[in-house]
Amino acid sequence: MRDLLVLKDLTKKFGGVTAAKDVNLNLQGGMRLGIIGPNGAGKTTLFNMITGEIKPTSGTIEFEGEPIHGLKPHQISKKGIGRTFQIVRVFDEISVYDNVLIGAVARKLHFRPTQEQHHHVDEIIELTGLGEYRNVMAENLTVSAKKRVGLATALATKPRLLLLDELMAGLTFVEIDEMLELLRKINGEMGITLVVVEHVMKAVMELCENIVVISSGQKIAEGSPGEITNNKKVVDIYLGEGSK
Amino acid sequence: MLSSKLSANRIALAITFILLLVIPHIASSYIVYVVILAILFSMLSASYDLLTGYAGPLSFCHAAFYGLGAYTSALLTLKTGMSFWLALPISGMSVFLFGAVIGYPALKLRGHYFAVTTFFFGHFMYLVFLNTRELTGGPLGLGGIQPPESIFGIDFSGMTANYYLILIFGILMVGFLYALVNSGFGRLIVSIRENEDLAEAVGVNTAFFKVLAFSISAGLAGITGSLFAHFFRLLHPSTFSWMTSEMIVVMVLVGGAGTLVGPIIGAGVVTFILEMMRFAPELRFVIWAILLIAILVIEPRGLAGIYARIRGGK
Ligand SMILES: Nc1ncnc2c1ncn2[C@@H]1O[C@H](COP(=O)(O)OP(=O)(O)OP(=O)(O)O)[C@@H](O)[C@H]1O
Ligand SMILES: [Mg+2]
Repeated sequence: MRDLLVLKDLTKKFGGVTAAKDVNLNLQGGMRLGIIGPNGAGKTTLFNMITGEIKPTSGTIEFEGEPIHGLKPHQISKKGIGRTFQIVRVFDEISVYDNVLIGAVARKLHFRPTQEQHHHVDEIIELTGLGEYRNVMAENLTVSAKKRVGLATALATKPRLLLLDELMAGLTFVEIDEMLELLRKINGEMGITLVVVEHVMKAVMELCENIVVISSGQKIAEGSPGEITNNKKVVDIYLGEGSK
Repeated sequence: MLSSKLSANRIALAITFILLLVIPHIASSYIVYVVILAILFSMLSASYDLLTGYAGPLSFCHAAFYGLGAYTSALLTLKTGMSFWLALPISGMSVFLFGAVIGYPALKLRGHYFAVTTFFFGHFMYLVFLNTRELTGGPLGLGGIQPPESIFGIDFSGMTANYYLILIFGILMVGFLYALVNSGFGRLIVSIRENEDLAEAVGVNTAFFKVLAFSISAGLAGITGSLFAHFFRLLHPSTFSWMTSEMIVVMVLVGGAGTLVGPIIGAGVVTFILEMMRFAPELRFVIWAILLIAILVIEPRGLAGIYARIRGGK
C-alpha cells in the first residue's frame, strides 16, 4: 500500500537553532499516529512544514505521492491536509456555524453555499458536539469549545489527513475522554488519517497505534505504545525532563 | 420576535424607497442636489465597506479611485467623443484593473503598513490629477463635460433625470454588493478579516481574495466617479483629495463597518451634517472628530450597532 505522507530528511534551521534534523517518516493511510517529545523538541515545527506555514531548510514532503513542500498553506489545505493550532485559532467575531461554513466554502466555492454544504456543516456541528453553540460568537466560547470549533472547521474542508497540535491541552479528564471518542470516530467512520501531537500521555497511548518520539529536532524512537513505554532512550528523556 | 424585526426593517426600507422616488417632485432642487450627493457618497462608502468592513484591510485611498473613474470617463468623452454609456463601464473596468495592479503589491503588506501605503498612494494620485494639466486642467479644473446622452427619449441635462439615473445606479450597486457579501466570496473575505492565518490554513487563497475585494471596491468607486463627472460636469482635483477618502472612512465608521446598510446610512447622515455646516466649512474637521469620538465611545459598531442593541435588547 502506498504511503499517504512521506517525510524525507526533513530539516529546519532557525538561525542557530535546529528545530528539525533529518526527520524521516512514512505514514500509511487510515492510521492514528502520535508525536511526542519534550517542549521545544520541534513537533509544531514539523506540522508547520507539512502545512506550508514554514519552508523546510532541506528535505522533501510527499502527500499521496506528490511533492508538496514549497506549496502555500491554502494549496496544501486543498490537497487534503487539515490542521488545528496549538494556540487555538477561530474566526472570532462570527458565529460557530459561520466558522465551520467557511471551511466548507473554502473547500469548494459556489456563488451561494449549496444546500449540501449547509447539510455537511450541520453534520459536523452535530458530530463535534457544538449544537448548543451554533449561533454563539466564537470569541465568547471556552478554550475547550474553541478547540472543537477549530477541529470542526478543519473537518469541513474534507481533509484526508488531519494534524492536531495539542488538542487535549487544557481539557478536563471528562473532556479528554469525549475528545478521544470523537477522534476515534473521525478516524474510524470518516476514514481520516490522524497525526496528533500531545503532552497528555494517557491520551496518546489510548488513541494511537503508532508513536514517534522527537527530541531536539530528531526522531529518536518509533513504535507501538507498548514499545515506546519500554524504550530506554525515551524513558531517559522524559525522566530527564521531569527531574529538571 | 424575528418576524416583527424583519417586517420593521421592510417597512423602513419601503418608506425610504418611496421617499427616494418622490423627492424630485416634492423637494426644492437644492435638496435634490444634496440627496444626489448623499447617494453618490452612499455608493462610495458601500463599495469601501466591501474592502475595509468585510475583507479587513484599512484603506485611505478610496477617493483616488473615485477620481480616477471621474477623469477617465470625462476624458474619454471629451477627447474621443465616446458616449457616456460606453465610457461608464470602461471607466469602471479600467479602475478595477488599476486596483488589481496597485492592490497586488500593496496587499502583501499587512495592517498599518498597508494603511500608510494607501494613504500615500491616495495623495500621489491627487498630485497626478493636480499636475497633469494638459489632461486634467490641473488646479483650474476640467470643464465642458457633457451630461449623459439621452436614451429612451430621456434628456439628462436637467437635475431630475440625473437624480433618477444616479438613484438607479445606486440601487444596482447596493444590490450587487448585498449579493456579494452574502455569497461564498463574502464568507471567504470575512474569514480573512477575522484571522488571515487561519483562513489560509483552511484553504482560502487570501492573497487572491484580498486583491479581488480591493479591485471590485475600486472599480465600483470608479463607476461612481463616472456618474459624478457627468452630473457635476466640472472636475477639480480637490474633490478627490485625501480629505474625501477620510470622509468615506468616517461615514463607514459612523454607520458601522461590515454591515453594508450602516455605511449607507452613515453616508446620508454625514452628507447632510456637512451640508448644514456650509456656513462654516472650517468646522468640518471638528464635526468629523466629534462624530467619530462620539460613535466610538457610545458604540464602536456604529449606528448599525446602536440599532442592533435597541432591536435585540443587548
Ligand atoms: N518561527 C520560529 N523562529 C525561530 N525559532 C523557532 C520558530 N518556531 C520554533 N522555533 C524554535 O524551534 C524549536 C522547536 O519549536 P517547536 O515549537 O516546534 O517545539 P514543540 O515541540 O512544538 O514544543 P512545545 O511542546 O512547547 O509546543 C524551539 O527551540 C523554538 O524556539
Ligand atoms: Mg508545539
